[in-house]
Amino acid sequence: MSDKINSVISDNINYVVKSSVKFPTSQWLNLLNNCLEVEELPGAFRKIARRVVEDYPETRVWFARQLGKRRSYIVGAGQESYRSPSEYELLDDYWLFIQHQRQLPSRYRQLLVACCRVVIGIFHEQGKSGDSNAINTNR
Amino acid sequence: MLKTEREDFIDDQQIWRQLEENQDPEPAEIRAILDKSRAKERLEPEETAKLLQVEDRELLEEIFELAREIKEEVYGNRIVFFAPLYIGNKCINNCLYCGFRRDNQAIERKTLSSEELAEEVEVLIDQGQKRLILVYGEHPDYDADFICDTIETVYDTTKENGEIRRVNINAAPMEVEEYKKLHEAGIGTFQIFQETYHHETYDRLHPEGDVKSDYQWRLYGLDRAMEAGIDDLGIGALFGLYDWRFEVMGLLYHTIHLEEKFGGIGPHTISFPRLEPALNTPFIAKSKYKVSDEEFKKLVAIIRLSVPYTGMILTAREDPEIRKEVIPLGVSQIDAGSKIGIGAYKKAKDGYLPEKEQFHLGDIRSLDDVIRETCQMGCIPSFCTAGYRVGRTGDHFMSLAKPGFVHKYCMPNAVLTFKEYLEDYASPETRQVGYQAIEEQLEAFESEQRQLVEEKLEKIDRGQRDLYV
Repeated sequence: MSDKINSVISDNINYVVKSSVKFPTSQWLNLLNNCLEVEELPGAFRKIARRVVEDYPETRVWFARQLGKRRSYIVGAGQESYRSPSEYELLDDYWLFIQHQRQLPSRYRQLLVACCRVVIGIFHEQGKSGDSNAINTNR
Repeated sequence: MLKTEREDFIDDQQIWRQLEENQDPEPAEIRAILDKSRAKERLEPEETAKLLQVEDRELLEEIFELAREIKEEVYGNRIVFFAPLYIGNKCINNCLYCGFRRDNQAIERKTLSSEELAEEVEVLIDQGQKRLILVYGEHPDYDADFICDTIETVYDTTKENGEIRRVNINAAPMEVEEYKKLHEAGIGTFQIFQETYHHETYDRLHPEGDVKSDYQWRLYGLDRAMEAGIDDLGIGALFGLYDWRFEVMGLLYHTIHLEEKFGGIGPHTISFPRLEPALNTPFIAKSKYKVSDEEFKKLVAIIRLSVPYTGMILTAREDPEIRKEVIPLGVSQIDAGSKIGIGAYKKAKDGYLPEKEQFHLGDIRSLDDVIRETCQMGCIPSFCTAGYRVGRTGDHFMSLAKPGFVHKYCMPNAVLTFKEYLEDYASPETRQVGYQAIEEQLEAFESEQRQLVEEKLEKIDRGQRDLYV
């Protein structure tokens, strides 16, 4: 499993650092750094979701974890628009959902997914995935 | 087991005080409370206590009318269908009102093997069911690992286009670590009914020394489930064990407790079964707290008004006539085609008589018959499991349900899953009535929503399944 995770991290980091004029590498590396500052994966997901909604305010973004047939909500950001969300399988049974995903340029979406995979992979490697579905009584 | 030594959030004296102090409420007071419900705000106990005291016919009619209105506004005119599946009836408890109690020699004890379970699931799939609630007695054989195995068997069983897409669980309260196993298995709702919220009655009906005699262990069972990450919870009371007004107050206090402790996430569903006759269970005939049909209608409507955004389950314990009257008063989920004996679905399909069951079922019609009647009542039957598969669970679900917007998903998904049912399982009569109901619903959608649904309906016509928004 560890080799697989390392390879996912490395492939996706390589993807993220490929420069792009519209979505410069520094922007994504900053987001990655911010995500890795938090203690547990849900906190990192929250930062990512908020960032996407800042960039594209009409979207709603949320993360869920696959448990059997259930995909259980973790965190999200943005205004509900009652549209079918697009679904992205990330890594380790985590999923990303985006409403109004057509607002996001295709390159941005690909970078976003790559970024999420790197974060999950690193948290997994560091044993910090935590109980991402445990209910936080203070949220 | 030692009784848990802690205070709990049900204060019997306070509830009685609230009920007694709020007798003979002024119509103006009642109408102000109705306005609060209309705004989809959860009521405070004092307010619910006032509603429970209403006897005036005109005010009662206003309560019933508002209950109908709120249900439609929050969930739309859809009714979600499910079926119970009893896995095993071994039980270490001796609850006086229960046909499965330990000392009841008239009941044959049985637990489904995984092969028998798969056979039961196949019969249910053949009916068109997509959502099950698995029911277990309280017994060391039915631990978390066993329950996880049964969940896996249910999810793994498929037949042609059919599969079970959501498994809810009704089982004994557990430790946090055990709940975590169930959470990982991907359950829908975890249900625990307190049976009665009245401490003294609870003690009297659950003999000292039984696991179930620990009131607080059961009362906080859903807190532990939540701590384990299970954020879809079902609460309930068995009406007929104690005064029905008190039990409604208990359900409300339980809701408030969960909402306050878990960041606004209250129960996903509330159940309100009435005590029914059970084999060799004389307690039931003697109970002085039986709930009349009129009281039952009143309590259902008042629960809807008290917690406007929470799902409400009416089971097939009730006979068809009363179901028809009560469903419009705020009910969002019902079961149909139900059997509550162990292995009873397969036995019934093979032509055997019903097994000795936990209690008497009032509505023994087939799923198809109940679906048809539901359409004739102006509702859309739904087998939707979409929220649970796109992460609209827990506080995400509550953020949609509380302001009353969840119907924007419920209605399209009801139509899509109902269309699947009509294509794959319905009788010709039900198909005719059902297509008509879908046409009428399509007319009611806004144009963008209608277009989205029609695109997906065409895909179902072309053979695709499990489509949702």
